[in-house]
Amino acid sequence: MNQERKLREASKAANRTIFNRTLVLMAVFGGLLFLLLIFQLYRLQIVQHEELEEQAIDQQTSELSVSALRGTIYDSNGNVLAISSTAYDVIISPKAISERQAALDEARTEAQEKGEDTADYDWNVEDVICGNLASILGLDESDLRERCQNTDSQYERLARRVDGEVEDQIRELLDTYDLTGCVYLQPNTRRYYPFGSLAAQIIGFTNENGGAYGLEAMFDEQLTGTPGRVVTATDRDGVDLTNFFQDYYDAQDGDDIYLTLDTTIQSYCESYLDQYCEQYGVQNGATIIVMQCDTGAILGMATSPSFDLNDAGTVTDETLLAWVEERTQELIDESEAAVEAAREEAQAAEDGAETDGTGTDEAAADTADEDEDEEELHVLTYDEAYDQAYSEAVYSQWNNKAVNYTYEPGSTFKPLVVAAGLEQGVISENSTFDCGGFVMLGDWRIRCSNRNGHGMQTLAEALGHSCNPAMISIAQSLGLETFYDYLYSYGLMEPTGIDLPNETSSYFWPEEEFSLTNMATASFGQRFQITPIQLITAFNSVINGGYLRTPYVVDSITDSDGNTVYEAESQIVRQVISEETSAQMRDMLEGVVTSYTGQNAYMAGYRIGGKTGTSQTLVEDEDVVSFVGFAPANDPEIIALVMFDAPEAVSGTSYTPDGQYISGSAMAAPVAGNLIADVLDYLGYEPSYSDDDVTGAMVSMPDLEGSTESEAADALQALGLDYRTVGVGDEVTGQIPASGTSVPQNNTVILYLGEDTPDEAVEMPNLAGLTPEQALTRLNNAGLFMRATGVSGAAADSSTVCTGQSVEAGTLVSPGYVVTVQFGNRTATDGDVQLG
Amino acid sequence: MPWRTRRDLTREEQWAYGPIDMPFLMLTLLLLGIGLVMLFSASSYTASMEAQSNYDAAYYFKRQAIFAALGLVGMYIVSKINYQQLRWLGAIALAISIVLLVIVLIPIPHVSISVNNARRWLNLGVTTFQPSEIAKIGVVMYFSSRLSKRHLEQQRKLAQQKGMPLRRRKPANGLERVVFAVQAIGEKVGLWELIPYIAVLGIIALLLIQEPHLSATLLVFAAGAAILFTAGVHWGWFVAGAGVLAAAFWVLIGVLGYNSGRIAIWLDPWSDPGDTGYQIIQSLYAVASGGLSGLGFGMSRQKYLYLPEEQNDFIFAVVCEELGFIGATLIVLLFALLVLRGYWLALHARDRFGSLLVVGITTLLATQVFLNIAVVTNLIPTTGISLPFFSYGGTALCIQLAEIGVVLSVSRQIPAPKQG
Repeated sequence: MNQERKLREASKAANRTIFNRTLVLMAVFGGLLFLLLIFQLYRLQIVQHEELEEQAIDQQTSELSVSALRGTIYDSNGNVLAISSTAYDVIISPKAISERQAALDEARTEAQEKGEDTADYDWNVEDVICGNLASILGLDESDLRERCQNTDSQYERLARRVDGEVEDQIRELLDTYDLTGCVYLQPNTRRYYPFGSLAAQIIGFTNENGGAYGLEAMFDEQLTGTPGRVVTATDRDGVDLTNFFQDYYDAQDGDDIYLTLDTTIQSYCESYLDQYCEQYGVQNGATIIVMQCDTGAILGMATSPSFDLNDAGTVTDETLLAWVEERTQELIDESEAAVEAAREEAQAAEDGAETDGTGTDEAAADTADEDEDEEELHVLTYDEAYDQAYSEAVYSQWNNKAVNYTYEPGSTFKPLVVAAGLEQGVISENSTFDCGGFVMLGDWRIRCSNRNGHGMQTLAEALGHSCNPAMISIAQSLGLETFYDYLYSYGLMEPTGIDLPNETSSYFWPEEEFSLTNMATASFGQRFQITPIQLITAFNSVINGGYLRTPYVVDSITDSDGNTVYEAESQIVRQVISEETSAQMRDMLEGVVTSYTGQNAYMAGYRIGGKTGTSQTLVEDEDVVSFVGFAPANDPEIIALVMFDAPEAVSGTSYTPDGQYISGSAMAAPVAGNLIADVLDYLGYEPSYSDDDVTGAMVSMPDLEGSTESEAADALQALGLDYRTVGVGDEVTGQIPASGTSVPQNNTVILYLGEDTPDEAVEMPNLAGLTPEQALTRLNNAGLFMRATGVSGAAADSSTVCTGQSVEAGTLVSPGYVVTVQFGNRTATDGDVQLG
Repeated sequence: MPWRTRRDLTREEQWAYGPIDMPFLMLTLLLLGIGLVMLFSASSYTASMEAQSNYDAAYYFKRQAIFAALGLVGMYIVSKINYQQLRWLGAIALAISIVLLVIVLIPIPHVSISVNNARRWLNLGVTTFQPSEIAKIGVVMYFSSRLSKRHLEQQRKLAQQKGMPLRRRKPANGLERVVFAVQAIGEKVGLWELIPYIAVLGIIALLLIQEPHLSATLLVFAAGAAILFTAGVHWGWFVAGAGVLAAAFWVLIGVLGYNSGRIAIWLDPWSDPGDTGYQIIQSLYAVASGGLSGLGFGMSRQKYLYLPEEQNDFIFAVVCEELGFIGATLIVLLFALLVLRGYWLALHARDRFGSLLVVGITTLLATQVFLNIAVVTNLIPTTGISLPFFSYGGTALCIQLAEIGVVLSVSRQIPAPKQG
């Protein structure tokens, strides 16, 4: 009984234990663990939801980029300067090729088993691809085959940006053989510059990463646009799950940029540069800028040497290529010298060690070092040196000389000094200046261009003579502080802010170091450096009413839908001088061209004002000749700067090997004059001739046949034409030129009385060295007509002679031909500085 | 045997015909139904891409559904069996499972199958199964039946001690003194009664580690420990056991280095996203993508081949992704309710054997659910473990349902609460 009771009690105790312990397990396994799980789910699904989902979506979708077409760059007339088109990258997939081959082999075996024709399968995929693509793309076939062996790869790019014929040939290949997936054309864009080298340094070019240079780089963001995307859900193997979801984000094509540049004006600038850089043997390049006076808009900006934007890495300019050769030799010589120096040094060290008789280990170590150095310091081979020189040349041709280059402006700076003097009232038009040929500044003797001195001169004469002592005197009257302030006012201390990349800053003396001597040289534009764009901008403020206007080349930007997103507004930085002072300056500067050193820029019918400059550089025989001109002088429309850096000089003289005097007056002024006339013609400006001009405006020859001589004479007189008669008769039976032909006034036309008009060709006479009158007579006698350009009329003096003719002497031309003849004053100088 | 009416049955037999526990059955059916539907969603894309499944999106779903139907029939049959029969079946099941665990380790063509260097499966022709499943239930049955009589053994020992006290004679020599002392200590702390259980768990663990099959080892240990604990083995052993495990864990990390393998990946899956961390990262992506309300049924993105084993060990990640925090929590709560109801049944079971049996099976289920979801959510280091009623696997599902049948069988014999 006792035993049984004990057992029952034990059983009850066991049951109690089981009950209690089950409750514990219940709490742990039924409660605690599940709470833990829910907490963890909360952490992941609520707290970390966004972070992890983003990563998940990243892997679950594949993005296909839809390239946006790069914007187009237009000139002011809507001519395309830079445009993108679709081109294709050629891609092969070695993986797909091997798979295709395997499938082909299988199909062939199957066909053989069935006894069918196997001709369709009897080709080798790799042979077809490598053979054809090698010849189409001009690649090495064995190289191509090697790349095909990399069968893990699905993407081997064989060529970039093919289009046109190459693209057609590849498409034909793809049509002929079923090469789906093996070879494909991946769309890409190609940048094309229809005008090639036109405005090359301004437009710039692109590379793989977008805009690399010029405006292409400056406005890269706007031009690039936003690439579109197609986001597709994919499974892990990259298979599209298009039925799952697919989102499109449209590509936004890049903005189009309209420039203020005009291709016609730009090409005038560039052809003048080309012609004269060659003629003058310009060594260090040249630039021409044409700007609108009232706005600051750049109409043309050319730099020589230039390059083809479609092939920016190639040097084509002959001068530059010659420089490359020269530079190559220089690099070789330099490396030779360096190696030689290193060797001598090593030798000396060795000798020293020997004489010391100590530290042999050290010496040995030194020698070892030297040996290592020698590894690097080897004499360059011709190819190495050439490559280096060539790449230097490539970089230099990309430079926009108008903006990325500084020079000493020389006498072209003088009008700024005169204007400041007038504005400050320290001088007036009636001021007089006595030039003794030099000025003493302490011990320093500064010579004037005219060593004998200009004597007593009015302000206009002083500017006309480009008289250095006069400028020094004006600067001194202004005082150091005011003079320095004007440098700021003219915007010369800071970049102009033109919308072109990498505008170079000017170099001036710091204000605390600005001394009287410095100011003296500064007054005639020497010993400081500014960019051409700074000079033309400041010069423009002198003649446009006093307003310093920020130059700009981008006129407007429109988005791909044609909405204007940016429109340039002419910006006035400040008014530097008053309208009155500016008007006085215009008069005086027109005088410089009509009567003084700027005469070679004179163009009959166009009222050109301007200032010449010849500045010496620190390198011997390398002068910078320049001219800044504007027209019409009474109400300037355009202003132009022409600058040639280092025309080839016969060593130690101021003459080119051709005997051309090296000065802004002789070299830059005629170019500027012609250019300004061309641009004004193009802009529709009607030239107005004065009676002094050798030839006048172009008039249309009337039809005089059948009229009497007196009637004809009246008609011709009304037009401003002279005439001579040939033959005897009452009635005009023939005429040269034919009716409707444009002939400059003052020419003598020929009326045939009772005789037929001759039609045999006439030989062009040689006009070189003739005065305008002589040339006119010579031509008219030959039955040809003259259109005089350059110095004439008021600007002409006894030294005015023909310096060029549009048709070479000896050429046969038809009677009545109008020849353009250039006149210049051979001896003109422009106050080049003489520092004694 | 002639047909007998209810009347003719013994009282014990009559008890076995009581009603099954409806809440437990309903929770099971609910989870099974949800599990099947989610399996279809999770596996459809993989199935449609595989030659093995004939590119049939419903391949896994169909097979699982067939096994579920078979399993339900099996469950019903098992629930009809008087679980008292399992007392003696326990030892046999254990013996069979140990034999099978040995066979599975022997490479026999077409019989023992090796997948990814793990030898866990036996080939049954139409399907495969893991002997470890038998081992689990075998351990539960054997432990329950033995431990249900624990108090009797204790009484017997006490009686023995009374009749023949241990210290009936003085130790003859030094050695005997030590032996006696050890005996006495072992007796006092209850070590000797544990030896058969430790031996059984040790043998099974040894065999499972050979496969290797860490998660099954864990489950066997959990079930065994739960039954031992419930049966009244001194809690100090479990504290000590936990201490030993913690120490082993600490040594593992200390010796192998903090950044080694699983642990490093567990702590920072992104340290090797392409290889060892890939699976867990994909799982976390799926779970987190679900957010509060999920992407919607069938809208998982991770099931598109990103998530490995998406129809198996990582099916809950797809559940989380499609049903969100709300849906996943609901399913976790359903499991919790099932587990709680299981323990409730254990509390009310007619006898100790029934209680221990249900505790063992319920703990097995709870542990498996916890480990699976904890792996999917990176709460613990990755180990291959399936989610009951959800993961694809015919035999495992059938055995799980049979286990539920055992619980239901126990539930039939729960005495009805007193009326009135």
